[in-house]
Amino acid sequence: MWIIMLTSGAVVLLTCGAFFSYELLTYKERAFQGLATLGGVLASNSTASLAFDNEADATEVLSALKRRPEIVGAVLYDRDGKLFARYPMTRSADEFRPSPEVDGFRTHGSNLVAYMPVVVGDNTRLGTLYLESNRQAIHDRLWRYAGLAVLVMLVSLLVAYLLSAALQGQISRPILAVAETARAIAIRGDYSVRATKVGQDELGLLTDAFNQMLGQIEEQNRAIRDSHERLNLALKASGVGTWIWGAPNKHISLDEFASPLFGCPSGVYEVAYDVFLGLVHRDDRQRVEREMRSVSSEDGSFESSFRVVWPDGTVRDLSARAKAYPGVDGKPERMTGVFWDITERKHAEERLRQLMVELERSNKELELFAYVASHDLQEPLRMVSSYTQLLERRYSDKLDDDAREFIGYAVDGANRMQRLINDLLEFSRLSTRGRPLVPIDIAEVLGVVRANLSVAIEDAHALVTNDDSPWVVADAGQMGQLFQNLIGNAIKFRNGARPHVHVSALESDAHWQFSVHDNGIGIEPEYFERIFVIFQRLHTKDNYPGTGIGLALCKRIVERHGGKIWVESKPHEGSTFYFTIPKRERIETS
Amino acid sequence: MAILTASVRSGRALFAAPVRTLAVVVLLLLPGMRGSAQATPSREYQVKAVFLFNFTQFVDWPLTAFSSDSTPLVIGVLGDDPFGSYLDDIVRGEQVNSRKLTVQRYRRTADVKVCQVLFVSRSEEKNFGKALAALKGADVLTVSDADGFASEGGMIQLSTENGKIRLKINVDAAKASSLIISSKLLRSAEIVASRD
Repeated sequence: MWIIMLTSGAVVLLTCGAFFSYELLTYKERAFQGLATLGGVLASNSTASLAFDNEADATEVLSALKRRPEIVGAVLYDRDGKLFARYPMTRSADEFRPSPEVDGFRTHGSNLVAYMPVVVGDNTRLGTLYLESNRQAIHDRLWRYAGLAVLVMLVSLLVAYLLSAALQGQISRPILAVAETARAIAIRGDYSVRATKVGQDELGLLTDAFNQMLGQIEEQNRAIRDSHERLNLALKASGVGTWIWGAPNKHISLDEFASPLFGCPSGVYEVAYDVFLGLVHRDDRQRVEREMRSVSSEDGSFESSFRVVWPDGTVRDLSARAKAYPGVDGKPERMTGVFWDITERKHAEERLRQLMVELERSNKELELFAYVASHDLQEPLRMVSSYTQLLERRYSDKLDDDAREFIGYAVDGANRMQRLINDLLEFSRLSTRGRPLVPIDIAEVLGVVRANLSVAIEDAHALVTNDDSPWVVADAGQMGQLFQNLIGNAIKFRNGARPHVHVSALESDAHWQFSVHDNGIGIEPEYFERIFVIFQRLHTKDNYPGTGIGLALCKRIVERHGGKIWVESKPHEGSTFYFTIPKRERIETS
Repeated sequence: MAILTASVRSGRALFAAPVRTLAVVVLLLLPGMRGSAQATPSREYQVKAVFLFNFTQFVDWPLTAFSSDSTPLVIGVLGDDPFGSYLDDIVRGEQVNSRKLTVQRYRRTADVKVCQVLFVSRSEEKNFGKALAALKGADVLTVSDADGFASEGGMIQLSTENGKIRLKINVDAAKASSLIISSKLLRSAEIVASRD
């Protein structure tokens, strides 16, 4: 409102000032013009008086000047320049100039004077009129002007005031209402309030936009609240607590989920740095302090695990993760992070470790047992075998055909048992003697296998082929056993045709799938599972030799590597054995 | 600007007036010039002569009073001429409404043919009535300094009072003609009515 009034006042002032200045600049000219007009009339009226020497009449003409208070004096000079009539009569003739000056308009001191000719007819000069005027009229006019200007200004200001008061209702009030609403919202934080819309004009649009904005804020707030609640729920459910740490030696604040991790009642705590360290187990304290100071300068990440001692003496393991935010000097100024309790996990890890040790020991015992057993078992077997053979050799002439046959069976049996024992030993060694899984070249493995099976391949005129072989992370020896068994089986279980064994590998995202394909006798579907069970043979030893341990061994090896093994086959049409070897990073232990 | 140029012109006129007065004085002082009818008139008649000329400025004659635009305005003197050449000197070179002025002298009323201003000399005192009757209604401004002129029907009478020449104007006589006498002149004069 003051703007309107100030503007109006300034405008009016400037306008009045302009007119006033104009008046001031031109008043003299105007005054002379007025004087000229007045003088012209007087001169005209006094022609007869001058022409016919009528002083009384001339004086009467001049006396009309009393209505013009600014005229201080007037004189009619006759043809000869003698004073003929004067005004005002109160002044003596001596006070006036005895003869007129040259015609014209000029100033005498502060007064304006005019000498004008009194002429009649075409050009007959009868005399001279002298008029002298003070500046009273001008001053009066100027003062009147000033007064008017002041009046106009006051009236304008008043009108401006009234107008702006009225306009406030139209313009300012809606704006003020919106502003008021904004303030109320800011104070109370209640974003569900809306401003009332008044009218459909631009202010209405403003109100609409404002309300829309409020709606958006409300929506955002709700989203934030929801997110916050979800986070809280997650924290609560997971037992993870958050913490914030100001620059070194400042306080660490724990939220209501973090404090129970330290054995304190749930709540928001501000603990001094030293107090916090005091909660850490004394053996871990120095390390933790060191770790906290040397936060990674690259990404500001912090990781640590340490024990804490609760007020009641309970010792818990905690893990911490945080992110540091640098201050103006680039050094970490703030850290925001999480704690969580890893005591159970630590215990589990401990138990696991212990179990591992136990397992290791157990394995070693088992291996020793197997070794000893096989050794001890083999000894009596060898006795049986050797003495039976000795019997056959020493007493062959004393033995009849049946006896020789019986001895043959016995030796055969003993030999078979020996082979079984060997296989068993090997089977048991599979896990205990398992070597670490390292990247190996399958091509190389296949080469070794071919060499090992060279006799069998030659005897059967078999053809063993393979596609490009990859590298896999596996136990080389066991891979060799695996391929040797599968390829060996493929050659062994042939029908009349020349055996052709083909090895190929197929890559997928998580593993390699190998296949060993043969054109042998095939397998009936109902036996697809059974053949992988130890000692389960589908054929008698008379048809095909073997202990029945080969595929069980393969299955054990594949499973140790974390893969699967299966077969697809049609009787009399050959078989394909598939197994997968997972892709993995090189690992130290199996 | 009009005032300025007027003042320049009238400046010359202003200058002319004292010259004329000087000329008159010289003439008066010159010996041997007196006695003739052309002798320098008295002060009184000098003023009256000026008045006669001035009357032409304050009276309007109808166009019918003149035969053409260039016809001069005639000031006539009936009877003994008291002005001498003075009147001629005054009107010489002057113009009224672009008309020149001439002076005529008449011995008898019948001689008055074309005249705009007729000054009836005091010598005709006894019988100016006849003249007035003859000129009644004519567009001639009748002026005289004879007593009773105005009341007898003369338009303007010059009477001397307290050493000053006063004007008596018979408005009715003027109204009987087509002459228009300026109100300014009327204001300066005493209005007189006809005796009957």
